[in-house]
Amino acid sequence: MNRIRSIANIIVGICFEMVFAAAIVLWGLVICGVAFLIYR
Amino acid sequence: MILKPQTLDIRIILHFLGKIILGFGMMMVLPVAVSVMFGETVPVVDFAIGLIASISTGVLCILVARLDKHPEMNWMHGMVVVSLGWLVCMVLGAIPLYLSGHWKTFLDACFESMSALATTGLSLVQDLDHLSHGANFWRHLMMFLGGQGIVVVALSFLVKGGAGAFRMYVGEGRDEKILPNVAETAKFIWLVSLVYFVVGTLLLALCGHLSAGLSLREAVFHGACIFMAAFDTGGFSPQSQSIIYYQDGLFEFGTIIVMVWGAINFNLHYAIWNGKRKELWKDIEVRTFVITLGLVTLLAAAALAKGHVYGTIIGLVRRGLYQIISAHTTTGFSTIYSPQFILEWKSLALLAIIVAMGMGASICSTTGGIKMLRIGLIAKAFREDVKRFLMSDSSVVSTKFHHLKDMFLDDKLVRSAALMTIAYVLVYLFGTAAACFAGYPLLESLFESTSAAGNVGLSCGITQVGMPVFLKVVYIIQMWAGRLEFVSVLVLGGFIVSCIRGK
Repeated sequence: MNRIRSIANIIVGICFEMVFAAAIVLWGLVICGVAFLIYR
Repeated sequence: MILKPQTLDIRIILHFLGKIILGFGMMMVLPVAVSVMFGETVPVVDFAIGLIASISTGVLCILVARLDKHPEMNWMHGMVVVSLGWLVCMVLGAIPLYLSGHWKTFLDACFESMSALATTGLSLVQDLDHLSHGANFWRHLMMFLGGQGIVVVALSFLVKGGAGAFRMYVGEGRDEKILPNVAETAKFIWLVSLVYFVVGTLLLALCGHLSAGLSLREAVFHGACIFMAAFDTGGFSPQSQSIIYYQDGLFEFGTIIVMVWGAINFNLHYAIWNGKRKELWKDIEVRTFVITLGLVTLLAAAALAKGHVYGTIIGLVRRGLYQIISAHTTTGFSTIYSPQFILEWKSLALLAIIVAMGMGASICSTTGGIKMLRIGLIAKAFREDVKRFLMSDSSVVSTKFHHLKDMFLDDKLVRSAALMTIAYVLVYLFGTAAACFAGYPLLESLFESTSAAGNVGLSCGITQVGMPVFLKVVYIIQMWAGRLEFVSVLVLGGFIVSCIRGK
């Protein structure tokens, strides 16, 4: 049971880090968008 | 008075050096398997020669320095073993590369080998697009080994954990243990890397096959190579055009995901894998990374947008933001050609990318540069100093920060962070001066030097086969010293002096 729980934790952890990486891209996208709109 | 090292010191160093070389040499079996899979016969011979040279050197070191019992390894032994180990592995790793005929001189192959081990990504290869799959895989595998640390490889398989093992582990530029035993820590680093290797390779292979149009076999090969280069924030790619080759937004997005994984502290991976997901938001390193990434992106995006370098927002993101994330995670993948940095990018954008390269990402990750923990601590100390002036003289201020646990910001921590930052800046300037001496313009020299010492791998065009030999040597030293964070390199220098002048 413990083993299943730790494997589930790892899978959720990987997905969580993937979402974090996507959020980093989104953060950059917002900044680029603002800069682009200002100097359009 | 400087004391000359004793015979026992030399024997201890040689013994552990032999084990590291043995661990590194055994990894050459993997590119042999790749060559066989792709039906390549000549590279098998090249790797067999490299394998024999590595194994015999390792065994010779262990036999010459046979130890009857296990003496305690002190800090000097640990540091010298690591710094020498990296140099010897550079030479041994360069043998199969040089034999492939794609590097003009053995020094060029050594440059490539150090660039791979130090997870830099600067390259002197010729005609990369026709390099054998085996040799190409070896470049990326060396990056993977260097990113985890070649001492970590040896600790996982050949050396028992203990105080001596911890001293070697620290010598490799990592001073944070994840688990109480250093050998267990090394094994955990491998576990994380191998789990991500499977997930990341699948992700990139799917992007490559379904979106970028690669055949299934090539997609898996490219996925594995690009994963190793991205997760270890190295920046090599199987094709000479780097990520431009794929011409695919989804593939670029996939590489960003893997680069960010690689930029996260292994301790944080451990915390997240154990259900402590809030650690990601609380940690000073992650917060500093998000802030600095925002600032450098803002500078670069403003400069590029103001200069109308890219006509669409998609262009700005795929060409501008991609380069910034690649620089800040010290990976070095690029979606533009090297000369475009100088010909198209404005000075402010170049400055932003140089700052991003110089800062790097997390401690105890595979990234290079000054690192976010140090930048965060120095910024916090600055803020506290300003606060003190605004408060009454009698008030006592104690500042906390969160890095895996709540800690007090004391002067010793700030001093150590500031010293390491100064050391990195000096090394960046040293490489800049060397390139200026060779006749390159200041901004380009600063760009390339920061890229080499920060283990990034982006190039504005200086790193070429025809560059001066002394500059190649300077960059090799910068990559080596930058990856090991200077201390073990300086200890090796002190050890050599004590061998010559000691009494």
